[in-house]
Amino acid sequence: MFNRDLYNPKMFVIEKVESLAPDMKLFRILISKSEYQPGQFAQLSVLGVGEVPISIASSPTQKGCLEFLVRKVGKVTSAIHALKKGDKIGIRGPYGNNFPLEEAQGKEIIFLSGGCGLAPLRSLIRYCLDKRDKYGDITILYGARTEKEIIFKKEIDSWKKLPGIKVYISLEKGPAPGDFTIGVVTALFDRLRNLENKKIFMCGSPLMVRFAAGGLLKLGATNENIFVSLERYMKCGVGKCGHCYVGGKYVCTDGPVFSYREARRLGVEG
Amino acid sequence: MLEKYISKQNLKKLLGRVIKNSTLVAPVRPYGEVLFEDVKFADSIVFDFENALNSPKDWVLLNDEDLLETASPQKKPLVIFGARACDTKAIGLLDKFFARTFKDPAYFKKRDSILIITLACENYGRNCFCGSVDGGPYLTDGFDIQLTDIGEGYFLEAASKKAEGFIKRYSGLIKNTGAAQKKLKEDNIKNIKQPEEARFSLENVYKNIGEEKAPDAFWKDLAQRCQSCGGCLLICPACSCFYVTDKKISAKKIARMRSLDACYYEGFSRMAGGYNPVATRSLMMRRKFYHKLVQQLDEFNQAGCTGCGRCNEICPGNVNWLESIKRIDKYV
Repeated sequence: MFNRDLYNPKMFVIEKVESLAPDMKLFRILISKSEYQPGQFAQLSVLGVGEVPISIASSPTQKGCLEFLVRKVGKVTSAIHALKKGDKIGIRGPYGNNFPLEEAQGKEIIFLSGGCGLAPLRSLIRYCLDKRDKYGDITILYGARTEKEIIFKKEIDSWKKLPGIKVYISLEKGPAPGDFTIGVVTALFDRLRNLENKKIFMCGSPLMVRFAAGGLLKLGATNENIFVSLERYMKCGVGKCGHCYVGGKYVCTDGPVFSYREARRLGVEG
Repeated sequence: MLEKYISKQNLKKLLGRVIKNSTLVAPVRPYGEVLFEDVKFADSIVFDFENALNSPKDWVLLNDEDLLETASPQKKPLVIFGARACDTKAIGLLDKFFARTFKDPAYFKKRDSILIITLACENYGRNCFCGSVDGGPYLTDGFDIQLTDIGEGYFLEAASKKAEGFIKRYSGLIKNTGAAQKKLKEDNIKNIKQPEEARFSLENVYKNIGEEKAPDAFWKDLAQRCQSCGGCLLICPACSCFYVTDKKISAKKIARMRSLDACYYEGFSRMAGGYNPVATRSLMMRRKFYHKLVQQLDEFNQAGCTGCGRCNEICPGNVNWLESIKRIDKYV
């Protein structure tokens, strides 16, 4: 745990800030022990402004660091964006469940994301890459609005060079040089084949999740093999404030990762 | 369980002494209506009342509570006198809720120093339906002290460690009891009859909500009358949703304030980007009904409603929780 008292954030010095897109920055913090799992999130806070739940973008296999991708959308995320290297940031966590790592062992894996939804998946992607012999072939489908808004660009390029990994990127708006496809992420679905036994991990806007899941099911994927990381408004992150409660579950403690079967049962498809 | 007797005269004396040693919250009638308030004089306490407009939750889950403050704020212990069975039961639910998943330190540092003296009911008030949700009118467990009126005094039951200490402290005013007084108490509670119009089958309601038996038209009808004022939720003794705001107290001190929130407010689930997964009133209502009458029963074996009826009294749109539940009960 990064904090000892439930609501008191522990202060960490920001080691590195990297601007990945016009409104997205990656914040790196040094920690002594990587006590978290891919799929979990933390509450980041700027004292005096507030707190926000942000998924952990780094993998526990990257020893000694924590990374968070923060998109500037509101009051708190704007305050976080104003922080620089050497500034302090409050962290509580890690919270929530994680991606089913063992269930995915030995299986082919598909990652599907839109926009900053790549961040929580990146944790798992890096995890799988660092434990390469445990997981099958990897296909990454990623949709961004424009070329400028592609995050983790250098990393994606390095993934492409690895054996057993394919990366396809769609752009909503052109120009689309090279091997980009124009359209939303579902425009890449013709690359997918035989989904029956593959594990699919998904994160993106509610609309993307709904359309993408529909498309995947048509291509033979099962509800049990699709896992979606949900984003919800949260204040506490620990199952108390009630804001993320949907369909009888607290996204913060029962999620944020749900199988698509569970997500559908809860009525929280996206 | 410790069984004792206290005369009405001695109870007043006891409460007078409690005021000196502790903070006392009790029902008073300052301008016609009964309210729970901090009480300075035992003489102002009322004993003949249905229930207070507010619930003792106001002292258990504080508005504007600093979550960053780890030191205990309460110097004196707090005694709540006159909580009805439904309110004590609701606070019991809050206790279970704030202990689930992660134990909430801000809640328990206060709660641990609160003793609740429950006043068992002698009859049903005009809004009450506790009998239908296992919320009262009297308790069999889960209380500190319960008093049941047996004429000249009260049959006193103590069911917690805190209560035993309290009884020791005021032992001069509390007497031993016997079989005759116990029989009086049991006869008294046997005579309480729940009015027909307050009756429904919680089992049916649980099943019907779980199976979505109520048609969309039902939820739309409720949604049309709801003004999203949040009154029913803020006043509910079992509701505990909160929001958090940071506040600069001084140049050096920042407080992170927890205040009550209501899941009928339109921004309750809205995210920074603008997307709201629970955007319509009928979805908000389904969420509340499901949470209180299905999920909390599943998790705590207790409904998130103890039948106090305050929500019906406060609603400006007459959504009427009780009548709505009775309608759900009837869907087949």
